[in-house]
Amino acid sequence: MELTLAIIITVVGASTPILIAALGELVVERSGVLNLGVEGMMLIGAIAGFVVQFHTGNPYLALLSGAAAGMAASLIFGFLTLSLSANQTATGLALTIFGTGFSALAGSSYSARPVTLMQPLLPAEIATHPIGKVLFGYSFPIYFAFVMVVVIWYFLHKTRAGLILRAVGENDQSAHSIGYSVLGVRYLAVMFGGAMAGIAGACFPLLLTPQWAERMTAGRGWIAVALVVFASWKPFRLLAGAYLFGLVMTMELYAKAGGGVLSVIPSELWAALPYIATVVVLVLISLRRDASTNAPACLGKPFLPAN
Amino acid sequence: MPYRLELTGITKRFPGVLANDNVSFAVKPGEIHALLGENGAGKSTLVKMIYGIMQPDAGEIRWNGQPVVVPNPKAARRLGIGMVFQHFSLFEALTVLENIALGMDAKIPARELEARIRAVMTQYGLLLDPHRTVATLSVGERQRIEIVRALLLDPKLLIMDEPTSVLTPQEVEQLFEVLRKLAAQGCSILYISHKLHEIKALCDTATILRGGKLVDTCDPKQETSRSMAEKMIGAGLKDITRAEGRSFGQPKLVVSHLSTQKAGHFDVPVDDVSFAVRAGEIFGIAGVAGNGQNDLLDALSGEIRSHDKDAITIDGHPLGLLDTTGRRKRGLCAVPEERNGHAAVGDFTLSDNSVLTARDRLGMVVMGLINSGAARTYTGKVIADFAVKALGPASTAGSLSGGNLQKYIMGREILQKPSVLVVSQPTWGVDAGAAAAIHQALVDLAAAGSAIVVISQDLDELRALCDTLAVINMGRLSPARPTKEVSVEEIGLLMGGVHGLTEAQDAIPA
Amino acid sequence: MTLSRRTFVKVGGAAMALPLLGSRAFAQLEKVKIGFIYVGSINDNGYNYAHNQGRLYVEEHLGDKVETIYVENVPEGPDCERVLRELAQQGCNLIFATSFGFGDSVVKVAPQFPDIAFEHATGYMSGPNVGLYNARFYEGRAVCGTIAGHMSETGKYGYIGSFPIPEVVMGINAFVLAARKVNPDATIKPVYISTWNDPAKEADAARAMIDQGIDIIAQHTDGPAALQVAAERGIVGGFGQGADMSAFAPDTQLTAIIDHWGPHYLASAEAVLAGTWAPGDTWEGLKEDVVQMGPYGAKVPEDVVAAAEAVRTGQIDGSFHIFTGPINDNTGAERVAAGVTMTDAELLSMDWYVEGVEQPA
Repeated sequence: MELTLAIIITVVGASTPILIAALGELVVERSGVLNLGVEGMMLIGAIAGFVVQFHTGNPYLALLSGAAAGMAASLIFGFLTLSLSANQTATGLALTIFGTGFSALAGSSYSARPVTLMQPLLPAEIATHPIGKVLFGYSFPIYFAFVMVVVIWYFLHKTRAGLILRAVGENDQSAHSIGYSVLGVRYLAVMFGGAMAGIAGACFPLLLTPQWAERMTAGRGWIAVALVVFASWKPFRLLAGAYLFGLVMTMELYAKAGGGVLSVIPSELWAALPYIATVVVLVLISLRRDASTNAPACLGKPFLPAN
Repeated sequence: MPYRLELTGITKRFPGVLANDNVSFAVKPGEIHALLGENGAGKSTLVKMIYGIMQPDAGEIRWNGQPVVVPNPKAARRLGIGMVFQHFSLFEALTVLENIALGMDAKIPARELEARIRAVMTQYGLLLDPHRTVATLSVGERQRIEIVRALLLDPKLLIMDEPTSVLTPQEVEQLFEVLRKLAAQGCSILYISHKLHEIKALCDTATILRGGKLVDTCDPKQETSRSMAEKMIGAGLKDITRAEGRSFGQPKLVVSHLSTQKAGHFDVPVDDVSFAVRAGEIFGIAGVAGNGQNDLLDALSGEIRSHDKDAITIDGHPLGLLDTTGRRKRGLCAVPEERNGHAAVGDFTLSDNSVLTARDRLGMVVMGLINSGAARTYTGKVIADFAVKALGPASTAGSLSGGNLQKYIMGREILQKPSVLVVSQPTWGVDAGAAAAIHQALVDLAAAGSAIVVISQDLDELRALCDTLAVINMGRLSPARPTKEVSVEEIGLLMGGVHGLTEAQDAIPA
Repeated sequence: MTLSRRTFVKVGGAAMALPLLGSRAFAQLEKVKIGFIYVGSINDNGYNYAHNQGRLYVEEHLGDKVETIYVENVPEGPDCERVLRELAQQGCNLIFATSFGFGDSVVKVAPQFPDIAFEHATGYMSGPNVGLYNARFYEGRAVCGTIAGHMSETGKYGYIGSFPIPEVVMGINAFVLAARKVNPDATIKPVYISTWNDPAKEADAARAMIDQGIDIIAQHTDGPAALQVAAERGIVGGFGQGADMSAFAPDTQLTAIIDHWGPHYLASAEAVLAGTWAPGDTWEGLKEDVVQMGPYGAKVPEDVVAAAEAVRTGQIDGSFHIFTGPINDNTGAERVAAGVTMTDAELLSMDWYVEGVEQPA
């Protein structure tokens, strides 16, 4: 029981940054933009969050700085792909390379400097009982991620602004001809995605491992990008997907570290599960022949007004 | 009472083109006003300026007597101008309700909006389920969304851009009912079309544009279709000229017992079709849409290969087992019905599109390398000979209007001088002048000794063009008869076919 | 056919020329230019950081007589070859390739620059101008294992490995052999995470092991993440790897193994300056000061410090070798007889675990 609770806590930590980054990318892709620079924006957010946490010790300010830095990085992407209609795939890859290099440069004087971890959001008394700890013992970003799942779902499906964002991703020419600012909507979406990636990056030094290390996100930005497809652009599926990935990533380690019950399923199988799950999901999606894959129709296509 | 809309001296210039040159006309309240012109005459540009998508370089727009500037579509809608586009501004993945909500400038709660939509639909007899996803709707139903969207704003002027080009005859009749009701309630309608009989049936006034200039404003009920067509193209409409008393040569294309397999739910396969086309003969295949025309074209072009090499022969050489490339090499060229995406690749330049079908016949590929000079020269010739309105061989196919693209595609195949040409709907959506040019080119090609198969739903076209006629019904082909010997009634009977009609309707997706 | 025969002749010719090249003497120099290539970032707080400290050590000691350049984050593969050539063309007299995976590239490039001295860390392929050097990190592991044996309450240790290569296996074995000399029931569970640098994964691996009962953790990856988790969870302790990591967990680091490449780099640089450099195959440890132990943590009691010091000094004076028999493997079979010490060659190809190591999944 105690081990189960401990595993849940680790899973939550591993899933949260992926979930936050993927939620941002989901909104970006729903607006018809494919930003493959999530990994780079996360690293920029991670170093910004680290530096602010190191100097101020205020984790909320650190998260905010991560968001601002990620947003700034996304604006470079936005300017190139939206204003200059550059190829989104290539620009996104370039953003990742840039983010990796820039964060390494900015962080070069911060090696061998630890920071303090972010404290749980609620008073420790609430989390004394083990179950209470599993439910209420986390710091702010974990709850933020859950709230954002609901907020983004509500925004996309229940608000007019969300409808316009989906419309822009679905058919940019029509949205333009009706009179919506396609580029304006996409800029806002890209900036939101950048902020979320930045927060996700800042979670690394604040939640997982209180230090700065080059490339410390180690490919999780790419998992976030893949998850958006996996979740067929739906926030609640994204929540499930992020936690599924977090679970198998964590269980692989627990299975390796433990004996007994945990080694019933070999760690190799845990390691393979994300890929198996992806294949299963893709097969299920394509079996439902009546519905489309739900991909925004304009995903990745630059918008050039027809007239 | 002032005019609802009055244009004075509207001029719009694009790089290389004067799209509108000093155009002036006026629309009265409650008037159905036709805007008539060939492809590229400047109709679309003109209404885009009225709707605020573009700004005129010179001239004045008056709305109810007051001069106005329409900076964007939102402003146009605020004035009371609604527009239904030829290409719908719809979002396939969204529902009808969401699509309409997107077109509304005011934020209306979903429930209230739905109530208003239902009210408008009942009032005008436009039937739609607001919660259906657009992707599942037919073309006619999609147009209804656009119309409902425009009507919700209670417009004083409704612009309809070629609304009937995608509709079935029944749907056209329903649309006209709606438009007449609207006009009776005082809404003006600006109706863009080049279908003269529709304009004669519907409109009170017609303004005719040619080459960006206003040619005439007239009462279509006082004009004949021919007189309006001549104003549109600016010259006497040429009749098809062909040598009298031609004799046909030996059978060139011989099709025997050609069949295809049913591939999809809505697919109508070809069932044991046999016919022969002689050198110099134009062989017409009539029929209601969805009776196997698509499969027949694919089976002839080679997209569907036969299992029997002798099912299709040219001059005795068997082609049945060959693919499209092989058949093209033997002299059989084909033009499918869908021009953008099937007959041509929209994102490719015209030059590249020429390479796609003419590479072997005209030697555009040498040792695997494209001879782009030859492709450009040939494409330039197509553009010149068929009066395609394009900036040049480097324009993308998708940038051409439908009629111009059709002229290019027809020209591309005809100038290859195929010994057999199979075309489906050669003048679909093409204006009268261009249609006449295409018809003449087909006749000339036949006169030079080619065998031509024309598959069309337009009986007038087939009767004017073809030497021989047959009717396809549920994948079966009737016996061929010389055109002069068959009456319209006979063809109609064959097309309907006692059993065929009901089955044909079942086969067409609702 | 002709082609392959010609190739054969060429290879044969090269083979005959080799001894001649080998006898070539290196000239004396006024100033030495040294190139370093690192597989990771010099800010990794660990392995690459330590190599860069070695470079700075040479600069500090030789002053005007040395110029150094370095390239970091060089992937193991074709890129390494290109970087090696660039360094050679920039006039380096001595080039250190500091990662195991650079070996193939070094062996390929070195014959083209016979006047340049190449040294490859932790490798096994030498040549007329390619020397090898390595450090006996396992000696440090033995010191750590001794402390773990004394201080652990559960007798269960965790060990995060990158990849199961002999270098890592050797460290695990040395650690548990030393611990079991104190606590014969001690066991260790290695977890391989298939990366040298993924702090979040290292941290999660540490959490996974701590949640399942270990109370001392060691790692053979590049960063301090596991040590930080040890501090966060308040277990008995952990160890710094590659460098002193006490800044990250002042109370939790029991001691650290410090890679101290400086003395070796200085010796090679001086040999090149004097014209006496020859390809060597050095494997130095605590005795030569290439491996150092960090300060003992405040928590480590006096008697444990004494026991650890005994192991450390024993290895320096040669009286103690951790891989002296009897040693059983983890299936219980005897691998090394009593009184026999494993040879360097045996150590460098070690692919089995000693008693007390749970077979990793």
